[in-house]
Amino acid sequence: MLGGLARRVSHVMKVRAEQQPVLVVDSGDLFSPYPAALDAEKAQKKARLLGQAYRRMEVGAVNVGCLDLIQGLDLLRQEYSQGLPLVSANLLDPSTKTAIFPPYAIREVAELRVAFFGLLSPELGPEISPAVRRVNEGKILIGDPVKAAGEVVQKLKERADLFILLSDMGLARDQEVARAVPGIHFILGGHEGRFTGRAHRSEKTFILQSSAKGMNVGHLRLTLKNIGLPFMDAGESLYLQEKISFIDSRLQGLKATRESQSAKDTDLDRWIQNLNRQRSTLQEELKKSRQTIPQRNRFLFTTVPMEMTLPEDEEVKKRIAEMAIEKD
Amino acid sequence: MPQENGVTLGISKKLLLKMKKSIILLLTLLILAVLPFWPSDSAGKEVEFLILHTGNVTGHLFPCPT
Repeated sequence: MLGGLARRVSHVMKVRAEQQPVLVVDSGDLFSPYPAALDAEKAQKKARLLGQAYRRMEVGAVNVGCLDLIQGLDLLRQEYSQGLPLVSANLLDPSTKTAIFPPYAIREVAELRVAFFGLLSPELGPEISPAVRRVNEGKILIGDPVKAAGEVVQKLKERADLFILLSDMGLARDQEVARAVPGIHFILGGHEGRFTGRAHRSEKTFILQSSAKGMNVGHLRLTLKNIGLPFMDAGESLYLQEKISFIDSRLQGLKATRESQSAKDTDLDRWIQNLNRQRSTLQEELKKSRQTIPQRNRFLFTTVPMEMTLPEDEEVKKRIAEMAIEKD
Repeated sequence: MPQENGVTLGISKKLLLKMKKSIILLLTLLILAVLPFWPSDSAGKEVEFLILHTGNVTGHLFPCPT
């Protein structure tokens, strides 16, 4: 995990240096998964290191995930006070029913106001619920995500151009929120460590995840013509193109088989016909997709694997060594 | 005296007319400068930015509980 951290920092800083503007966000479950009862000191050390590294990356918003709560609220408060921009719209103080951390963070980029807000799942799951309860008894209340999302969008509709939910709820919950709360442009999700090669679409909201364990960094490239226009997935045409290429290679193989056969094979011919039909449908879709792109805002989501060969950030590497934490 | 007055009045009228013309010209120029009567280069200009996303960095010990 921490070996990946040094590579992640290095990657982010390289992208920052090469390209402006860039925003960095995390959708939760950032901190060490070690339950405090097992090895509190080690867990705290790792959590602090992660906090430092993310500040070094100049992270714009970090959602509070359920695993982050295992460390206890005090550690999160310390990290927040040291400049880690934690957000959560439904992590509430039980006595006041108000948010413990800011529900959202508005970041200005390319003359746009981007509102990032955070949500975590009210169902923490049987594995972690006891650990979270033990350290946060009476200190936290997890509010209804749909209600919290609705409140944020309503409150900020005049103050933000783009709404991005950082979610630690999982795809099913994300879809539920997207259906219930119009106006969320993107949901950058986590919690279950899914790898979404393609965006899941729910109403007008696109839902994306970048896998788990810091294995990838998701790159969401947004190209906006006019904020009022709908978004479309620029990756869609790439995906269609890939499918057409796949069909082409299948067709090539089948045609070669047919030519080598002396007798007529009706099954083979039917198969070829079917593939040709599929190919022309995909070609039509591709044509339509290419024609639509220029009239819309568009996005392209890719994930960059943090391979072992990537360079590590020297500063983070040094801190890992100083803290004597193994790179597990 | 009335002649003098007449001359004075004549100059004032001319001056007033000139001033009116100048004001109208200035206003026209101002409107032209402010209103985009023809598409400018910035119309339809695209903005592009990148969001780098990490999530579930430490979530491997506990997979999706929901």
